[in-house]
Amino acid sequence: MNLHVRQGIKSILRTPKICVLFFVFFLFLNVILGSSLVAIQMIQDFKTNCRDEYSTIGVLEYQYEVENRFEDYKKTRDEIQDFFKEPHAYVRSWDITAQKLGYTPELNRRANGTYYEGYGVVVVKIGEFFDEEQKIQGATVLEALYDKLDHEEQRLFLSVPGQMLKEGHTYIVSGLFYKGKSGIDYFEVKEFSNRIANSQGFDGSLDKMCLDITTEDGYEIPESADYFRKIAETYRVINDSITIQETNDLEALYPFHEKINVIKEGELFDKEEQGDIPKCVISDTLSERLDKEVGDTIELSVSQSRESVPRAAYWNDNGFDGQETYQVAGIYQGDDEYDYVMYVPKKTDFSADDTMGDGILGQVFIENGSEELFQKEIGKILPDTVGLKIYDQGYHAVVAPLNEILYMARILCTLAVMIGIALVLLFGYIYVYRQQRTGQIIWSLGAGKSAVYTYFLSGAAVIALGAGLMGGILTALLNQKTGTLIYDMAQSAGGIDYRYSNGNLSVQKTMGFAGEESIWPVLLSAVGIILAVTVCICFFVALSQKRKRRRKWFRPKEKSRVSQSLAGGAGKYALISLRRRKGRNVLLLLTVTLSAFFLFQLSASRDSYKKQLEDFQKNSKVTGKFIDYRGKNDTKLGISGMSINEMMRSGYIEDMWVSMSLKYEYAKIDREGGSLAINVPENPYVLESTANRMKKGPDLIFTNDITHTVGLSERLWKNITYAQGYDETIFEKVYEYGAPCIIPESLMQEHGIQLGDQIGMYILQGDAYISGFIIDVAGAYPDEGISKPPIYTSLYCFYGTEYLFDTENEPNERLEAVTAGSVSFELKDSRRITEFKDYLAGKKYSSVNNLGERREFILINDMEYLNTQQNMTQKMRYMNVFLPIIQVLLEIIILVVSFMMIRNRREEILLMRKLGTSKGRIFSSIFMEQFLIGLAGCALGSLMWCMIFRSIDQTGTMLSGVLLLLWTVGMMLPMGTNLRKSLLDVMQEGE
Amino acid sequence: MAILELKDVCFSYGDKKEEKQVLTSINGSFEQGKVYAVIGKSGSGKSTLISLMAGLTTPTSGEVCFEGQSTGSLDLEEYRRTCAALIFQDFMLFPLLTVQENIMYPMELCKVGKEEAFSQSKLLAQKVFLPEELLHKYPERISGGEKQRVAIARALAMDRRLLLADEPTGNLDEENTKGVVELLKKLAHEENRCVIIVTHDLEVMEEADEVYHMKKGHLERSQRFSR
Repeated sequence: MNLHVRQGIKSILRTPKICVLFFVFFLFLNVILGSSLVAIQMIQDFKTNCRDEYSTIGVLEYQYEVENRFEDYKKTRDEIQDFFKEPHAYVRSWDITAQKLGYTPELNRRANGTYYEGYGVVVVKIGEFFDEEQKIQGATVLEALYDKLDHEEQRLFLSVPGQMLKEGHTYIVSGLFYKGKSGIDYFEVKEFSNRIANSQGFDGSLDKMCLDITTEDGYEIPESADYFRKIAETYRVINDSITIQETNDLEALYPFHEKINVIKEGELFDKEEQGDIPKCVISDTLSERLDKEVGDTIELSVSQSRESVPRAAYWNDNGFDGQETYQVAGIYQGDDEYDYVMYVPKKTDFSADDTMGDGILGQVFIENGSEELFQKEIGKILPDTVGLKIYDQGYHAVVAPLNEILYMARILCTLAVMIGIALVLLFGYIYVYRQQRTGQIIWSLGAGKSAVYTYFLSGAAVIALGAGLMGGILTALLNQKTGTLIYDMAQSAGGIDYRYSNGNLSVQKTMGFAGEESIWPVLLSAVGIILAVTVCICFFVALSQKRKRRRKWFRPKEKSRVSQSLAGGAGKYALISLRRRKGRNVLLLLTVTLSAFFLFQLSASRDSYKKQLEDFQKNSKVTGKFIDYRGKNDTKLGISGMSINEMMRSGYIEDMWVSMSLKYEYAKIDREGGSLAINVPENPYVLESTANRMKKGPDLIFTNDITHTVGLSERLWKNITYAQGYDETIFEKVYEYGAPCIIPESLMQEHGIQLGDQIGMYILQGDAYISGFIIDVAGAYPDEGISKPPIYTSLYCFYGTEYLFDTENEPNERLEAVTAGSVSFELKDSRRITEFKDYLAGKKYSSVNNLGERREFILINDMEYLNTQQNMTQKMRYMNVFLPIIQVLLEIIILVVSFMMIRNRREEILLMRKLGTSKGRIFSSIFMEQFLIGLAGCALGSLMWCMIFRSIDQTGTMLSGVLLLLWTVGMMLPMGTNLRKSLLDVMQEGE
Repeated sequence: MAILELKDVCFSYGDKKEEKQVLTSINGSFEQGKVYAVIGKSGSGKSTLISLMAGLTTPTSGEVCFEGQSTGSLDLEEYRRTCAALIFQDFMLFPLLTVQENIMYPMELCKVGKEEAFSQSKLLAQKVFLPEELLHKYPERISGGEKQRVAIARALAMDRRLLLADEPTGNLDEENTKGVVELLKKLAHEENRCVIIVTHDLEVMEEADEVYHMKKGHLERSQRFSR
């Protein structure tokens, strides 16, 4: 073996203390670093797998009906499309709702025996006059141009708004069939409202929907009345249409993502695998009606329009846009809502992208874990009318605890690297720099610089390679255990409690963590240490070869110095040394000052963050509401008054906002005889038709707080104009008669109503019970853009509602008769959210997609709160773990610095001893100097912090004191050791 | 009367398992007014001998007597402050003290007054032919020869009569060597001090009044070497 390699190895082995110490350090570091890297890689790999396994989607949909929805839709759609044109790191894909109408004459959507209500075009002969006031006449159906039921030869009650038809005449009419309680069907002539037809100038007004075609021989449909056929054909197609929805990712589409639709035969199509005939997926209902199985083809006539919702995107005059054939790839079972939806891949040549959607604008496939960011960004462009619902399949719940562990692993890794660098530098300094004379000798003996490098690298290699190898083996052996440890930690961490949470709307999946063993982190760690040591050694060898003179700032300044008297003993010497070692002492002072300052800062940061967390928890307001099974609807739910009262009594609720709704229709007030009354129709048939009309009309909403009423946006309630003497407190009072209401401005304009007036209305209770109601107009709100704008009044108009929030007395039996349409609430104390969830679970409440014993579903809007709390609590945990470690490390560093400073003065101490200086004096001289630096540094650091932050941190002060103590101990140790030894022993101690 | 006597001085180090005998029954007598040279091969024990004489340690057995008193019974620190002075090959000056302050250091240890220390240091500097302008310089700014003179001047503080020099000319050139040797001779002959020099240098040996030879831990008096 090369001479210098042998010598290098021998040199390190002859310093067993250093050898063993650094070997152990590097081994330990290697294992920590390697294990951290293994953990990081395992978790990253798992998260990548989760990325494929879980998906998070966001559905953008209209929250309520908008009057000018099409214009609004186009505008909103364009804005959203522009948003998604830009690349966003957190968005995987955007799937705009692309639907079109499909039709096949083979399909009859109405199943036998179901209640039918639908449009039709029939020829009727007018029979006896029935009710002149309500304009309802008897008629017999002679011929049906389009009628889903078979009304031919049947009698029905016909009404033409504002018109009386001639008895005995035959008319062709277009309108709406509906069933009455009497068993005789109604037919109401209605205007033909088809946006495509209307946009092309077709006049579908009421006048034109009823035409007298009586001839001498009976009747004849003239050519000029051909439009009735077109209307009839249009109704035929629309009523038996299929909605074709195009999508590129069927699995991610909301109904499939949420397992509302589940494949029972065949499979979902993959866009990439399309053959000559594009695939489709249909419902079991469609499969049955069309008698189609997997593999069969379906031929459809298709139609799409930018002017109409897809299901009504047909006007006979235009005909169909084309023919399409699909092959059935799969059949799903799902909600009734999706029975007549066919899913197909998006086409490039005939795409439905430009069609009008229905309530759902589209959906976005979000990167798992990025939903908050996405919500924040898209929230900037979304109008009030459009809401975003996130469906996370449980990614957060699975990944959150792992993210915490990942963060800790990264910190551990960083710490290991930092400490590793410090240790490697220390090793280089001790091993090379302090042996620089050895290096110089080797070089001066003609061996050359490479020999010097060889010598030192060989010695260092013993430690580095040994530690690297052994560390690598140990880390590899621990690989599997690391995975198990992560799994256990994740399980015990528990993650966020997403019960009843709006962060848990999706059907959940669970994927257990399984760490895959990997060799590269082990190699990286071992090689890293070896490389670091090698580089460090080379650096110090190079440095020691080059250094010729001392660093400038350690050399005392050469001025015209006047020598000073040394009288004054140890103190005088200390002062002289303090002044003349300016550079070094300033650096030391700075080190101690910064350390003290940093200790204060660390301690104060922790306290401050703790306070922030406490304040956040204390001041956060978490709300919740009752909702439906799917988490989509929060109105017209039917929540019992007893449940509301019970929840109020739980002690967790600060406030509750309850609303109920009934249908209303404006009615004239009868002022005859000096008293006010509303004349409710008595005729049962008139009642029925009114009731049927009202069912499709606006709501009268009873609420206890206008600012928290579901469906009423802030923009609207903030712009309510109140009549004199009224304000928002009207909703807090009980009224026996004449409830004050807030009405839409459009109603005021339509009927010439003023603020403060009294108006009448019909109220529909149940299926057909109509009562009259007189209200005071207490205020009005701007309802532009709202379809069927409601009227708002106090909840307490309802009998029994005054007991809803009574928690002092026993629950009143009248509450049993109270049924609320929507209920929302605010929790008293967010810190007790888990307790509240336990309470809900105890009371067997259901949550979204999770049926409990009690069929009342609760949704708590706590996702943001929980996530923020989780983040803050995590950070707090890290602070509690790592800040003390950093503090201790800092203290140790100060100890070591102090120690090293004194060790570097060994020669000075030796000289003093040789010159006969007493040990006490030597000790005092050096102690005083060092202690002054330490004291000044601690004081300065503490003072600076207190002045900057204008407070005194007790823990920081204590830590600063410990710092000074360790500084002192650090200097006393080497001094004590040196002074205790005999002079000869000290002289003989070599490098 | 001899100022320093060595009586059966033995010195060894290490534990019982690996004891190394460095000096064996050393006997010697050193008088004031003379220059003694101690020569020997490397590892013969010269430096150990001078350490014993300087009171850096005490012998394993035997006695080192200064003016009849065994160093074993003396306060060695006091002994080094007031009786024996050691001059080193690598000068051993305080880097952060000026030349004058280095010279004053032993005086301060003995609580000499400020003014007196200043004046004494000047005189001592003159004695060793140090220019006055060097007094306020730091050691790293002066030459090797000057440094050694400073060391000698320091050694002369407190009027120490025993000067022990361990290879004092080891790091000096010929001219400076001559100067230092002349100085040491002057101090011995004119100021009646006992100067003991450990050296390899023939020139120094030639200038010595008596030469002792260290051989395998034994001290032998040599005939005065002559070329």
